[in-house]
Amino acid sequence: MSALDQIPTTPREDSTGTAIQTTGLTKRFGERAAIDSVDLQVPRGSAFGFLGPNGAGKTTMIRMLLGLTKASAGSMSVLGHPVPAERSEALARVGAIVEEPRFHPQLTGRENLRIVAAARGPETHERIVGALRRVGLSERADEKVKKYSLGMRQRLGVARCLLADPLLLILDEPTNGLDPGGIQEFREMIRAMVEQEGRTVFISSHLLDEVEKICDHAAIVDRGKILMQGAIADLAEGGARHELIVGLDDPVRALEVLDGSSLVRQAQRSDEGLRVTLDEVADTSPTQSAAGVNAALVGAGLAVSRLEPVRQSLEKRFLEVTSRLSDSTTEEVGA
Amino acid sequence: MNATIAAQMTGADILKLRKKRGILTWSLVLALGPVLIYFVAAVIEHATNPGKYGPAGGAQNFSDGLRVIALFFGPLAALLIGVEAGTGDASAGVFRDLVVTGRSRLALFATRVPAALAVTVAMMLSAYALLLIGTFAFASNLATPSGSLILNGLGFTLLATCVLCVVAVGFASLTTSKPAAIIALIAWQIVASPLLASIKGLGSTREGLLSQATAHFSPVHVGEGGHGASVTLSGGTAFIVLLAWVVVFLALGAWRTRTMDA
Repeated sequence: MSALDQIPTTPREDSTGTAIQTTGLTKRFGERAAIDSVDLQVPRGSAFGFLGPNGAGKTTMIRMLLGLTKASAGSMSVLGHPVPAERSEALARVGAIVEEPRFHPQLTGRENLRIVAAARGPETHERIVGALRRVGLSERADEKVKKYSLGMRQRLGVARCLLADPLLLILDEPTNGLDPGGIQEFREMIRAMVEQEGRTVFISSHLLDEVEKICDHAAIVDRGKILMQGAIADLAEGGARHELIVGLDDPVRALEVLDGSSLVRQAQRSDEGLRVTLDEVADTSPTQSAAGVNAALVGAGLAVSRLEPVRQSLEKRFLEVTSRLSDSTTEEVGA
Repeated sequence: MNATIAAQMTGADILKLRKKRGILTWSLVLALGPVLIYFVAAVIEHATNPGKYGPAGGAQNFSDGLRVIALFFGPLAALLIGVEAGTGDASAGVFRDLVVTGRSRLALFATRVPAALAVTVAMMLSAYALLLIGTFAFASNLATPSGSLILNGLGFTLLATCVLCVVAVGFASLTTSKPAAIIALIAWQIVASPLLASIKGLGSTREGLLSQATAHFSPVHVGEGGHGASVTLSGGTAFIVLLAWVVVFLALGAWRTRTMDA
C-alpha cells in the first residue's frame, strides 16, 4: 500500500443530510452580537462557501463550531453530533484551519504533524506520509517550519487537516499567502475532495471569485447575520433572472412593441440591442415571460437574433445584498 | 484517553521541549554551569594555595554543591522548563489546533506535566552526576559522602526541582504568557520567597512557603535565612505544604486550559 493510499479517497459515511446545522446561533461580546441568531445548513458532500466582508463574523462562527469559544445562545451540530455536548465525537472526523495555520517553528513539518497525530490517536501516524505527499511537501517535510513560506505553511495546514481523514474540512481564508499556481492547485484539491471523495468542505472567505470557483453552495454573511444561503447558481441569479438581453434588428420599433406589455416592467436600449426587465406575473415563470416577449417581438415582424437571461456574478449579488443591509441599518438608525 | 494515547501525547510534549533550543540551553547552563564553575574554582584555589584551600571534592564540597543544585540554580532550570511546557502551545498559536482534534483540554494540559518532569529529571540527573564526579574525582584524602547521603541528596534534588517544575507548569498555563510567567516565578523564587522567609514577624505562616517545606527534606544542613530553613516544620506539615502547592497550581492551570478561548 502506498502512502497516498493511506489517505482515504472515499467517504465512509452517508453523504446525505447536513454536515453542519445551526439554529439561532448567537455569540455576543458584551452588547455587540458578532453572530446574531444564525440558522445555517451545510449539505454533506458539498463545497460550501461562507462568504462575507472582513469583520462579518466568519471566524467567530468557525470558532464556535470547533468548540474554541462558547456560543452565547442557540444550538449547533457537526456531522450529526451536537456541539459542545458531543464535541469529541463531532471533531474526530473534522479537519480545520482557523485563521492562519500556526506551528511550532522549532519543529520540522513532519514533527508538527506528529504532534497532532499524537493527540488524534495511534492510527493517525500512518497518514502523515500520505498527507505530506498529497500537499506536495514530502521533500521539505524534514525542514524546520520556521524556514517555510506562508504558502508552504498553508499546505502543511491542509496536511494537518488530512490526518483526521476528515468527513468535514473547515478552512478559514485558506488561499491567503498562496501564489496563483498554488491557488489553482488548492482549488483542484478541494474539488477532488468533494467530487471524488465525497468530503464536505466549508470555506470562509471574503474573496468572491474564490468561492464562486470552488464552491457549489454558499451563505453570505454580514454583521453576524446570514443574508442568503443556497446553491451558488441560485444566489448569483437572485433577481437577475428577471432581466433579459435581446438582440434584434430594430430596437426602436421593439421598444414600441413592448411598451404597455404586461410582461415587461422596463425596457431600454443597450449596446446589445435591448435590456428588458420582466414584470413578476403570478403563475408565470421568468422563462415563460421571456418566451412571451420573444413571441411579441417576432409577431411584430422583428428579427430576434438573441434572447438571453442576464447572468449576474456572485460578486454583484454579494455587493447588492451587503449594501442593502447597510442601507436598511442606516434607515433604522435614522428612524 | 487510553495509556497509548497518553504516552504518545507525552512523547509529543517532550519532543517540543527537546527542540526548544533556547530554553533547553539556558536550563542546562543553570543546572550544570554552577556545579562546573564551583568545582573549577575550588580546584584552582586548591592548586594555587593548598595550605589555605582544601581539595575541591569530598563530603563538604558535595554538601555545598548539593545546595547549589537543589536550592538555587536547579529550581530555576526546572522553572524554565515548566513554563515552556505550560505556555509552548499557546505561544506558538497551536493550542487551538490541538483543541480541534477533539481531544479534551484537560488531557492536553495533563500531558504537559510528565513531559516537563521527564526533561527536568534528565537535566537534574546530569547535574547530579557532574556533582558526584567532582566530589569523588577531587576528593583527594577527604572523606566522601556515604551511599545513603548520595541517594538522599538525589531524592532531595529531584523533589526540590520537580515540585517547582510542576508549579511552573500550572502557573504558566494559568497566565498563558511565557514572559509574564518566567518573570513572576523568578521574582518569587529569587526575591519574594527568601524575603518573606526572613521576616520573623510572619511567624508560623512562613510554613506555607514552598522553599521552607522543601528545605525540610534536605539531607544536608541548608543554613538559615532566606534560602535556608527559617522555620521548623514537621515532616507531615512539609509534605502537606508541598502537596498543596502542587495541587493548587495544577488545578488553576487545568481550569484555565479548560475554559479559555482557544
